Amino acid sequence: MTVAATTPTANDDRERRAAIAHVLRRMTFQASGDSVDRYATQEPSALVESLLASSQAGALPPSPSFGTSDDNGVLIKWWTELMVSSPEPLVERMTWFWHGHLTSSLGKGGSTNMVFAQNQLVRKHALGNFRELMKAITIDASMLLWLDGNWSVGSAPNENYGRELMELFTIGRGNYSEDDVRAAAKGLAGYAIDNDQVSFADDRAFAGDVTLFGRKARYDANAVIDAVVDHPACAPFIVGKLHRFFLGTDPSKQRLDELAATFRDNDTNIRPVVENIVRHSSFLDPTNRYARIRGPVEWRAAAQAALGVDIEWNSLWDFGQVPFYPPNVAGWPDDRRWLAASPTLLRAHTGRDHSWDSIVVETPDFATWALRRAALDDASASTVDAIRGAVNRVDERRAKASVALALAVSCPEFELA
Amino acid sequence: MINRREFIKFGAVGVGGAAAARVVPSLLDGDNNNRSATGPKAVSSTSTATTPSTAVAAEQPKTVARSAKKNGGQRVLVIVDLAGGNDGLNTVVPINDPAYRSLRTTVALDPKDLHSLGKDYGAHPSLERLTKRGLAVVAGVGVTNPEGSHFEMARRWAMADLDGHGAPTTGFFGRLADVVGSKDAPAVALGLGSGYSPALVSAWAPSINLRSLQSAEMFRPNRDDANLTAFQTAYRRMASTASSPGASGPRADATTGMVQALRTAGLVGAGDDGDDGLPGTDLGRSLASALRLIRQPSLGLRIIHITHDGFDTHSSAIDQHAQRLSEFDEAVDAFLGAADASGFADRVLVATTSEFGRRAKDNGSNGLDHGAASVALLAGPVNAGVHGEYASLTKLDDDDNLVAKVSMGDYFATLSSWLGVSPDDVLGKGRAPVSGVLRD
Repeated sequence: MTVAATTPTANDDRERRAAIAHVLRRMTFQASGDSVDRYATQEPSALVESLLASSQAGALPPSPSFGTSDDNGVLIKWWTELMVSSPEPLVERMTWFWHGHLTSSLGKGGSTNMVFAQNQLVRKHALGNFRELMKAITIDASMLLWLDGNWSVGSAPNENYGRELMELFTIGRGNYSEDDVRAAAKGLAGYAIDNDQVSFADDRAFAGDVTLFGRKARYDANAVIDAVVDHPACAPFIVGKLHRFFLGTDPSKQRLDELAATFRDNDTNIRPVVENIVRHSSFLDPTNRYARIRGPVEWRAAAQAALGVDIEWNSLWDFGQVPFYPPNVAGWPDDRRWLAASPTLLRAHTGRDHSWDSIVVETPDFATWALRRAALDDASASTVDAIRGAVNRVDERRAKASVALALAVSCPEFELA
Repeated sequence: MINRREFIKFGAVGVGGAAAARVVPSLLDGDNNNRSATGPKAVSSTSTATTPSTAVAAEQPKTVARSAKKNGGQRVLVIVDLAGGNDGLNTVVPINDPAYRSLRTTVALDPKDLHSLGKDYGAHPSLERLTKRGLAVVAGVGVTNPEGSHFEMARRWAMADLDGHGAPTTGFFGRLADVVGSKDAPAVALGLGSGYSPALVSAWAPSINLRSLQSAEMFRPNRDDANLTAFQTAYRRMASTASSPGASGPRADATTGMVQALRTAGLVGAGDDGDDGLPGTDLGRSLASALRLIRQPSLGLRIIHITHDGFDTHSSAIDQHAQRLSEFDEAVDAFLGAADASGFADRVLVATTSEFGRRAKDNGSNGLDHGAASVALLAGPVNAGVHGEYASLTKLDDDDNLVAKVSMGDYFATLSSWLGVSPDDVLGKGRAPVSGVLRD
C-alpha cells in the first residue's frame, strides 16, 4: 500500500474519512462521526483487520436484567444497545446476520430466556463453524418451538423444520424433493421441550432407515445436518448470502465459486469466508459504496449516533423491523421495501422529531458539521447544497443545527450503507 | 387435518355457489369500467366473452352504472383487522346453547347483558351502537386446516391462502386493488395502523401504507414554521436533484422512495384536520383519516385496511375483549354516522378480519388460548342478523377448537362482490359470497 509522503490535503482527509465510514457501515452498527474520528488515522484496510481481530466471540456479553413485566422489551433493548456499544462489533453484525437467517420469534419461539439463549448460541458461532451452528440451532429450544420440532415424533413427524432447513437455511429451493423433506423430518424427530429443557427420547424418534438425497440409511438430527451441509448446493447458498450481506450485491460467478471453495476448504468455517469477502478489493472499492439498503435497525443505530439522542427501540415497530420478532421464518426482507414511501416518511419524521434536542455547536458550516456527524463525509453535492440552503433559511444556532441534522439522517445517502 | 366429510362440504359450497358468484361482478361492472387501464390480466375470467355467465353480465351493467352515479362515487371497502385472534364465541353468543356455559367456566357473558341478534344469538355488551345500527354477522368463519400460529394464520388471512398450501405473492386486498384500480387512481388502497400490511401487497395498484398520517402531515405547507419549511424545501431538493432519468441501483431507489414519500404526503397530508366527531382512539383516528381520504375523489380510494389489535386474550379475557370491542363499536359507529352525514353511507362497507378465534373452552385462568373458527362482523349496507352457520360447540376438532362452517374464501368472496369483483379473479375457482349478508 502506498501512502503519499506529502501533507494530506482536505480532499485526502475527506476521502480517508469516507473510506473509514464505509468500513464501519458494512462491518459494524457503529458508523458515526465519532467512530470515524477515532479511526481516521488508520488505513481502511487496517481497520478491516482490526475489526476482524477484535471480534472473537470469546466471552459472551453479560445477560440483560430480566425480571420485569416486560422482559421481551428488556431483551430487545439490551441487544440494540449492545449493537452500538460492543467491543466486538463484527460479532454483533454477524449475530444479526444469523438472526435473520436462522430466526426465531418471541411471538412463537418460546420464553424470553429461550430466545435469549438462542441469541447467545448464535453469537458464539457467528464467525465459527457453520456445521456446528446448524447442529446446535436444530435442537435449540426456541427453534424447536418456532418450527415445530417440539414433540415431533417418528410416527407422525412434523415437516416444518425439515422443509425450512433445506429451503431457507442450507441449500435453497430446487435442490430437494418432497421425499427429502419427509425423510429429513423423520430423522429430526424425537425432540421435545419439558420444563424449558430440550429432551430427546429414542422411543419418540423414527425407527428405521430413510432415503435422503438418494442415500438410504438411519439418520438422526446430526446425520441430517451433515447431509444438507455436505450437499453441493449448500456452500454457494451460504456464501452468496454472506456476500449480499456485506456488499449488497450478488457475487459474480467467479467470486461465488471462490467463496464456495473457501467455505468447503475450511471445513465450513464462517470466518475465512467473511475474511475473503472483506479483504477482497471489491469491498473497499469506492464505486461500491452505498450499494446496500440500510434496514431500520441499522438506520436507527446510525441516526442515534448522528443526532446524539436516543430513539426509543419501540419506534422499530412502526418501521416493521424489531429484533426477535421476524415477520416470518424467512427473516426480514433484504430489499427495497425499506425505501418505500411509508418508512421513508417515517425516517424523515423520526429524524426531525429527534433533532431539536440534539447538541448545538458554533460552526461556520452546519451542513458539513451535520454530515460529518452522520459519517457522510462524501455526501453528494446535491445533498450538501440542499442542507446548506436549509441552514441559510433559519436564523438561530439551534435551528440551524437541528435542520442540518434532521436532513443529514433523511438524505438518500443515509438510507444506504 | 381436513377430514373427508369437511373437504366435500367445502367443495360443495364452492361448486354450488360458483354460478351465483359469477353474476355478482357483472352487477357492479359499471364500477370497474376503468379496468382496461390495469394492464395485468387480473380480470380475465370475467371479461372472457364466451362463457355463459357473461351473457348474464352483459345485461346487467347499466343498472349498476346508474346506482353508482346516484351514489356519486364508487363503493369503498373498509377492513378492520381484529389482530391477535378475536373470540367469536363471546362476540356473538349462542344464547340457547347449553354447551356455552359448560365450556366457558370463567370467561362467560351474562345473557341479560347481550344485545339481541335474533332469538338464538346475542351480541357482546360492548357492541351496543352497532347492533342498534344494524350489525351483520357471518358465523362459523375459518379455514379447513387451522394452525395455532399467529404468523401463519395472519399470513393465510392476508394472502387468502385458503388451505395453507398455496403461496400467493400478493395480499387478498392487494389483488382486489389490482382489479378495481385504474392508472388515474393514485391511491387505490390505504393501509393504516400497522405501517405495513401484507394483505395490501398488490401486483401493480398503488397503495399507501402508513402507520398513521402523522408522518405525512409533516410535509404539509406551514408558512409560520420556518424550520419546517426549510426542512421541506431541502428534502424536496434532495429528492428531485439526486435522481436522474435511467439511473438504477440503490441510490436511484432511495431518491425514488423519497419522491414517492413526497407524493404520498401530498396525497394524504392535504385536506382538513377535522375528526368528524370520531373518538380519539387509534382506531377512531385511523377512521377519521380514512373519511378525509374517501372525500378526495381524485385519490380513487377503494380499499382501506386498518389494524385494531389487542385481541390475543390469553388472560383477563373478559375485560380486555370488552375494551377492544367497545373501541371498535364506538369508532365504527361514529365513522358510519359521519359517512351518513356526508351522504355516502350507502357506498361504505366496514368488515372485520382476524387470524383466528379463541379456544372453545377457557384456559382456567380467565383467558382463552388460540382457537380456530370465529365470526366476522359487517356494518353499513348490510342485512342485520346472523348469517352463515354457527360453529358447533359440541363437535370440536382434535385440538378442541371450533370447526369452520363457512370458508374464509366464501367470506372473502362476499367482500369482493361488494366491490364488484368476481371471486374467481382474486380467490381461485369455486368461492361464492355468503348469501343474504349484503343489502341489495
